[in-house]
Amino acid sequence: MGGAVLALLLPASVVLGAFKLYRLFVSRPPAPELAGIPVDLLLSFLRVAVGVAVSAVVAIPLAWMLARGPRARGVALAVIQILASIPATAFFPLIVVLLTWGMSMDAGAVLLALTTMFWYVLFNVLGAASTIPKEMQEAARALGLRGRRYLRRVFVPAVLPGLITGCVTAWGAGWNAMILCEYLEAGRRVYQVRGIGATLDRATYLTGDLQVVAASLASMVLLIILVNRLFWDPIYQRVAARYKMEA
Amino acid sequence: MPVPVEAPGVLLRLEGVEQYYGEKIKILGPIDLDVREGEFLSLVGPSGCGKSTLLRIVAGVLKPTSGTVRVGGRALNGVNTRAAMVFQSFALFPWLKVVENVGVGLEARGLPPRERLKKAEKYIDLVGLSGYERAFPRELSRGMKQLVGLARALAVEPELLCMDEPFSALDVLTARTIRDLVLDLWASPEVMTKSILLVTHSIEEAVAMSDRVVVLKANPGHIADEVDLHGLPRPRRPDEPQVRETVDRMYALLA
Repeated sequence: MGGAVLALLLPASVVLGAFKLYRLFVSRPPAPELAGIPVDLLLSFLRVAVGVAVSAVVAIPLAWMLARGPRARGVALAVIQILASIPATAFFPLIVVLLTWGMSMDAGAVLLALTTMFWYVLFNVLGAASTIPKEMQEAARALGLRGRRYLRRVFVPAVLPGLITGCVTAWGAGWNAMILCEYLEAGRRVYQVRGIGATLDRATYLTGDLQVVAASLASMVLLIILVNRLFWDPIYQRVAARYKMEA
Repeated sequence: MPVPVEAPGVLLRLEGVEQYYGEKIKILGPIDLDVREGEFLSLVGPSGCGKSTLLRIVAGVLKPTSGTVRVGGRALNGVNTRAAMVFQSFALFPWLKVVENVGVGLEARGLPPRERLKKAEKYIDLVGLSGYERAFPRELSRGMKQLVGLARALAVEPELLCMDEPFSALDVLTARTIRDLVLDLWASPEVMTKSILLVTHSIEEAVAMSDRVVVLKANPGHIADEVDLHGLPRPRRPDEPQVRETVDRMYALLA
């Protein structure tokens, strides 16, 4: 019953939406911002990519340390869980302080995005680390695999599927974060940096130009889907095929 | 109670080894036990008797709460580099090819890549897996996986081979084949291993393979009995009267 309603409603709303969009774009000449969207996308893309890369590079050694020192793990995990539960907006003041101290807004945007992105990567890597079977750890120890060699031969391969899952999730969250991070209002000042998030924010809050909102949203969604399909999916398939633990 | 160390023919000696779970619960010991040079020693006993724990203490992957493991007269501190382990779950690294799995212990011992490869190939050949060097573990049957586990352990040329229920995850026929292979390899001049320590819950398996069987009982794990099987001629077929009689006697010990 509900399914039937949905089956009717969904195509109807798609058709209606498409029609409205069509009207939005033919009823008047294109807004000047539309021409800048490709560059906006590229800049935001670079920020999200840097965020994913930084998350991965930091999460692996951190997870390694947490996995090694069972005593410190309890405390560290509690701290991390508290930090992870703080919404990105709560970090605004901190970022603003850093900005007034002269940090570039580019770095500020990435840093703020990291406060939401990083945890996805860390928790997925930690989860994967806990799947290393006890006998495999013992085998590694008996064979003399220790320290960096254990890291390279056992730990990193074992957490690789989790790392990719975390990166995909962080990648999605990063785009979401861009809308928040590229355009900050604090006090009476506006801190902004060029990017698709800033363009979307300005169109939403300042100009109210629906054409720009629709175009920037649609182009962002398209880019995310394309990268997921053409980059993350193939990588995940290959990594899972080789690095997943056997049942 | 210091014992004169380095009794001739003793490969490894456990002195008053105890293992606790937490502060208060003793799960094993005190255990005094020698592993002699050239012997096939089995530990049998019900689950919970601490036989796998004991094996891990011997291999040095688990530090006993108290007591000493002596190898060549010296107290063991850390991993026993003269021993290697074979696991019930095979414990292969799924992301490494067969040849890399077998060579990884040699890599840890600092062997250069070429020698590592040569040695890995030698042991892959000895267990009969030639042609599978480039395969990944997931592409192999369970029996073949355990052969890789065996080759990986033998490749580091241990004096003592420690096996923890190595045949329990295999079907009966495969288990028998690999059991025979282990005995053949042990006797072969190609393999450096002097002694084998086998943990098993199967009395038949212990009788078929061992020179000596140590019977453990639980609460806390302790040595309840010891049976010398040097006099039992090899090869031992399960239907021979002498073998069957020994098996029956051991069941009585465990009851």
